[in-house]
Amino acid sequence: MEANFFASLFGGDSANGTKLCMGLTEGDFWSRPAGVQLLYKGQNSDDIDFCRIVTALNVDDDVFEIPSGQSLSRWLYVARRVNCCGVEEKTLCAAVMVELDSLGNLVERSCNKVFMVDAEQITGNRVLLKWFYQPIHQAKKISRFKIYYDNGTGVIDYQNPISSLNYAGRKFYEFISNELTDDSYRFCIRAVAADDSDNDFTGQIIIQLNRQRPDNISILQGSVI
Amino acid sequence: MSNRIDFFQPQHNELSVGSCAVSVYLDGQWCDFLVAEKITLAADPDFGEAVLCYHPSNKDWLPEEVNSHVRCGQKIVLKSVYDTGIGVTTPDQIPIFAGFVDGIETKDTSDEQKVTIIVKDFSARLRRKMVYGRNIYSDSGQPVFLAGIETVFNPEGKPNASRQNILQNGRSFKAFSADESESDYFDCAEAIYYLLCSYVPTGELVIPALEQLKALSGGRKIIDVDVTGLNLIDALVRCCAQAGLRFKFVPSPGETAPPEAIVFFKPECCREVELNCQWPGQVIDISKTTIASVTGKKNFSPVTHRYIVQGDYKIYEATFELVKGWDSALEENDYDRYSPISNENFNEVRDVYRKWCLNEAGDYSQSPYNQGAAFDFSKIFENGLYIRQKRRFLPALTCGKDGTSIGYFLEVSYTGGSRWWPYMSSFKILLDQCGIWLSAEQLDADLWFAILKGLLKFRITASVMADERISFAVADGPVNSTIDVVDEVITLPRRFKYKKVSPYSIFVNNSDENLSFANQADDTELLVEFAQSLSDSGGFKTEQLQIKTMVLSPVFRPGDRVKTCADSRDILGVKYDNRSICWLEKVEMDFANQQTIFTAVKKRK
Repeated sequence: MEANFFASLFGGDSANGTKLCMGLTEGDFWSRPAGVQLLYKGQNSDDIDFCRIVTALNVDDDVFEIPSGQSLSRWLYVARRVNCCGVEEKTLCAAVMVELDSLGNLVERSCNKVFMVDAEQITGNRVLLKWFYQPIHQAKKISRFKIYYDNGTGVIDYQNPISSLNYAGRKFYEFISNELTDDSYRFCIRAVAADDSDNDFTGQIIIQLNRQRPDNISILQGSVI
Repeated sequence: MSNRIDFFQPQHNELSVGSCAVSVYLDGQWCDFLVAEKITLAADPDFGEAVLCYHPSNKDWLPEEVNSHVRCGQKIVLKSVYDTGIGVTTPDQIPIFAGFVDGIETKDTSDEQKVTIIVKDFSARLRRKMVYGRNIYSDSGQPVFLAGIETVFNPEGKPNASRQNILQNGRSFKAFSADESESDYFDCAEAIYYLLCSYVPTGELVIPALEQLKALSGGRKIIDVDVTGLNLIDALVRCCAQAGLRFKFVPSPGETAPPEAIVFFKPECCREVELNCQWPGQVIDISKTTIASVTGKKNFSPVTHRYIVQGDYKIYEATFELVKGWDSALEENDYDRYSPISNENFNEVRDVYRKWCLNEAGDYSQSPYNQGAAFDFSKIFENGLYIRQKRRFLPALTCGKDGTSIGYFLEVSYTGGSRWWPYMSSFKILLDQCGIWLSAEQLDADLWFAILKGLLKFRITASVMADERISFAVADGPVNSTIDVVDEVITLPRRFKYKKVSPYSIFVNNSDENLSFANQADDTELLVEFAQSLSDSGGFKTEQLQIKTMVLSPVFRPGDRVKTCADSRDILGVKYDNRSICWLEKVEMDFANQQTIFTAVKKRK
C-alpha cells in the first residue's frame, strides 16, 4: 500500500481514508482488494494535488460524477488506478481538461487541429496545400475541412471559407488555390465536426509567392582537360 | 414458419480503438506514397527492419516507376502519433524507426502488382564495413593507419593501446600503440569506442560517450580479442560479449542530430513493461488486458549450467638437479674415448658424461641407469595433480637486464653439489624429455677431473609446463544436488596464462644486478571475471514465448523486461518467479493485423 493511503492517525476517517473505506481496517491496511480508481484535480499538470482525492470509483465503473465547478473555471482532472495491493499507477495518461463558460456550462471541444501542412507553389501562380488529420482522441468526429484565406489583405476571413473538403479517412488531403496575383497570402485550414462546430484553429500558413525564374544559360563552354 | 428475413444494422459501427498508423518520412520529407506494413525492432544479431508498401494515391505513378521516387540508400524515418497534451488533445509525432532503403522488391503478376520497400536500420550499413589494420598513435600525434597489421586488442594479454589519444573524424580516442613496450591495456569500453570512432564517420550515427560505455561495461578487461576480417557488427558483438553487453539501433529524436543512435544495454538493467491479462469471466477491457494470445515453449529445467573456463597450462620455473642419463657400464677412465675428435666410434658412448636428465618419467630409475625414483613435481606444481610423463624444459621466466628471458641457466658442480658454477660451454636442450646434452667437442679438464672423482653434478634453472590449466568454474544454479549440471568447457589458452617462479628456483628472490623482473603472469582474476560474465550473460533460456497483443502499440522496445501487475492473471509466469527474468527479444508491429507480436525469452538470474 502506498504510504499516502495510510490513515491510522484518524482511524481511517480522514478525508482520503473515508473515500478509500479505510475505516474498515482502522486505517492500517488496504481495504479495497478489488482495486479502485481515484480522481485528482489541479489547475494544470504541474500543480495537481495528488495528496487530496477528489473522489474514488470502483474499478468496473467508468463514470466519475463530481459537483459542477464555478462558472469561468478551468480544472484539469486526472484519474489513476490503484491495484488490489494499494499500489497506484503514476501516469497522467487519463486526464481531461474541464472548462466552464460564463453560464456554468461545459465548454465543448471539437475536432483536433490539422496535423501537418505542406505548401507548394505550382504552375500558374497557384498554391498546393497538403495536410493530414490525426483523429487521435478527438472530442467530436470530424466531418470535413474548411479552408480560409486572406485574399492578399493580411486578415483571414473566417466567415467565408474558400473551399470545403469532406473527410474520408486517414490520407493526405489537397487543395489547389486559384491563380494568386499578390506576393503574400495567408491560409487557414480548420477541421469541422458534423454539427458544424470547428476547432477555432487560428494557425496560419503564410505563403510568399516567388515569381522569379532562374537565368537562362547563355554560354556553354568546353575545354580539354 | 415465416419467409421474412430481418436485417439489422449495428448500432455502433466505429472501432472502439482506432487503428495505429505511422507517418513515413523519406529523406526528411513526409511522403504519402509509402505505407508501413511491418516494423521489426530487435537487438543483435537480427536488428531492426521495416517493410513498406509502395501505394501512390496518384494513379499516374505506375509501380514500375518506383525507382524514380524511391532509391536504395535513401533515409527513412517512421513516426508514430501520440497525444502530447494533458487534458487537451495535442497530437505530435515521435520517431519509432529509422533506417535506410536496403532493397526494393517488385511483384508483377496477372492478379497482383506490388512493390515492397525493405528498410533496414544502421546495422545494414555497418555490416558492409570491414575491420582490418590498426590506427596507430604516431609520435607526431597524428593517426597512422597500418593496413597490414591484425586488429587484436591486448594480444596474449600484452597491452597494445596508446597512452595518448588520437584525433580522428573529430573524435578523440585511444588507438593502438606504435611502441608496444610503452602501452596501456585496452578495456572493453575502449575497444568498442575505438571501433565506433574509427569506422563510423562523424554525423552519421549517434554513439555513446566513452564514460557511458565504461560505466555500462564496469571497466571489464578485454584480452586477446581478434576482430581482423570481421564486419563491424560482428566485431562489436565480439567485443561486447566480453562484458555481457548487447546493442541495438534506435531512432534519434533530435531534428539536427543523426537519425539513428547505437544503444548498448544489458537486458537485466532495462526498463520494465507490464503485459496483463484479465481473469476469466470479466468484461474485456483493453486497459487491463494487453495479451491476446501466448504460445510458449519451455526447455528442460531446472538445469544448472556450469561454465568451466580454462586458460593455458600452468608454467613453473624451478632449479632442477639432473641425474646421469647413460649406462654406467660404459664409463671408463679414457679421456679420448668421449670425444668425437679422438674416437671414431663416439656414437656408442655419446651420452656418457654428456647426457644429464631429470628422470621425470622414471625412465632412468631402473637398471642400467639406477638413478632413483622419478622426479617429484608435486612441490613445484603446488599439488600432486600431474601424470608421470616425459616433458621438456622451457626457457626460464627470469629475465636479464634487457627484459628478455635468460633462457636455460645451466650450472655445474665439481664438488658433489656443495658449490655451483655457471656452465660456460655449449649444451643442447633435449626436446623429447627434460634433459641436456653437453655438445662441446671435448670435455674440459675441470669436468674430467670431477668425473674421475665422482663429484660431477649439473643443475638447470628452467621452466616446466604442468598438466593443470589455469581454470575457474562458475555455475548459474545449485551443484551437487538433484538438479542436472551441464558443464560447458571453454578453453582459451592464448587469453589466460599462469607463469610462476617457484620457491625452488635459485632466482625466486634474486637481487642480482644483472637480472630484472621475472616474466610471471597470473590471469586468475581476469579469468574469474570472464567466467562470471559468461554466467551472467549465458545464452541458456528456460522458456521462449510468442505474445500477441490486443491492439498495436509502438511503445515496446527490445530489451524491455516483462512484468505483470498484481491484478492480472500470471499468464506469462513472471509474477511469482523471482529467480528468472523475462525480456522482449524482438518486437514486431504488424500494421495489417493491427497487432504487436513479441518474442520474449526467460532466463534464470
